[in-house]
Amino acid sequence: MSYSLSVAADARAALASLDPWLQEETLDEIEKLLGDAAALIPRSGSDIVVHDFTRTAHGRVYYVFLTLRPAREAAVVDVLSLGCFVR
Amino acid sequence: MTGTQIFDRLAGDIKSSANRPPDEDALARLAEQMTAASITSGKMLRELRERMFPTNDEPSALDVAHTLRAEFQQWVAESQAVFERAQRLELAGRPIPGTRELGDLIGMTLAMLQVTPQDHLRSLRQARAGSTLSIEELRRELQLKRGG
Repeated sequence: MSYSLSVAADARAALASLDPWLQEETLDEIEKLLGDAAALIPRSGSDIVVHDFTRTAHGRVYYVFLTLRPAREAAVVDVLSLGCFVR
Repeated sequence: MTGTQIFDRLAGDIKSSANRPPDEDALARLAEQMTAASITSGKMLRELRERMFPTNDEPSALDVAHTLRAEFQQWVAESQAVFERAQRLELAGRPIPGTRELGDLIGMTLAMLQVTPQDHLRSLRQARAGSTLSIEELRRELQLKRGG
């Protein structure tokens, strides 16, 4: 199934504020999720999917957190929010 | 209760015990147990993460979201204290199993806490009002922003 994205303004701004390489990594991660039907199944009691991933670069660890809302019938995934912490 | 107070007391004892053999093994064992306990409670909270992001502003859902957020904040504060002590021992040459895993759990939680329940509800409204695009269109949009 091929999904379109709807990106909330806040998530767009948060994405744009990341370093370019981390923007690309985040887009790759979202693309991977879009191709993995199991990853887009919300847990029971919610229609939100949460996802996080870690990257290491330049001696630092980057933690990225995403919330998504898949709407299967419309083949759209809302990218709702993004948080990032660097250690 | 994380054990950090007794850890600090024992660590202080070791420093000042000129006449007694230092019990560094006990300190390392305590750090290992504290680290394992923090990992267990952090994983338990992670199972509930979705509930921090309700799909409507119903008071009971928001109450759960705020309560869970407070739990996560408390866990981070306590686990950070454990992590720092385990790291200190590691730097002194005593590897403490789980230190890296705990550091990653703390990092992932701090990234998640960047998004408040209010931020999330606002994003839901924004997404409902927005148009859709493909991942490639989003990629190009970001590349254009960087270029221009």
